[in-house]
Amino acid sequence: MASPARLRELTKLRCAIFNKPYNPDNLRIGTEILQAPLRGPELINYYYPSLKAIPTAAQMNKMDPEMNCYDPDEKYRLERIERLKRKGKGAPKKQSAPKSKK
Amino acid sequence: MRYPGLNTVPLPGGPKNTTYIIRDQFKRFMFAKHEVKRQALRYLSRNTTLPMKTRLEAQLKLNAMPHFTSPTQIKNRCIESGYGRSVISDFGMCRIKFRELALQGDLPGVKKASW
Repeated sequence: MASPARLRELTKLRCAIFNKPYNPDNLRIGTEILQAPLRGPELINYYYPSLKAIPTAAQMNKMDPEMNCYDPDEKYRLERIERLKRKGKGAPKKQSAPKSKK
Repeated sequence: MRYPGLNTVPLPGGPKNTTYIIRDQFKRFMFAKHEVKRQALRYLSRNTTLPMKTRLEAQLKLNAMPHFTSPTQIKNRCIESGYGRSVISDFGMCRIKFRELALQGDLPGVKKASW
């Protein structure tokens, strides 16, 4: 068993190697404050863009039609119109020439 | 002025930038900006091996710093609506928005329990 003095020497050497403050009397020297990681960068990034800020498929297609995003709502709309037309219940045709005013 | 330079801070995203969210964002940025100074003053005041006068001066300087640089002023608010109460920290959302988005299926892995 090593003597207490020898053990203290060992602790001192360990602190020197691992860059730790040597504080055998456990004084309050504020080490924990200096060693604490900075919290700022983490706290700044709390508010991130909302899920609603991401454009939907319809908005993407409107911006650039070549993207051709899959849009289930649009697909359903077109299918419904097709179905109604086959039944003869489609929207009426637009007038080609404007009616003459009375 | 209560929040000097409120408009210099970048706005958080989302459709609703409520006043409370903007204020909280401002406090976050101010805290990050002054964090090193605060920690240095804190170290000086908490170090018992330093002379009492130094510690006292450091503590006074720390107390004299604006309130919006303090970390205790920061509150985790709902990122969708800015609501300050009952925020579920895992999602950063209040209970109301969490339910709305979960039922819509916008939150991956969240499912309504049923048994």
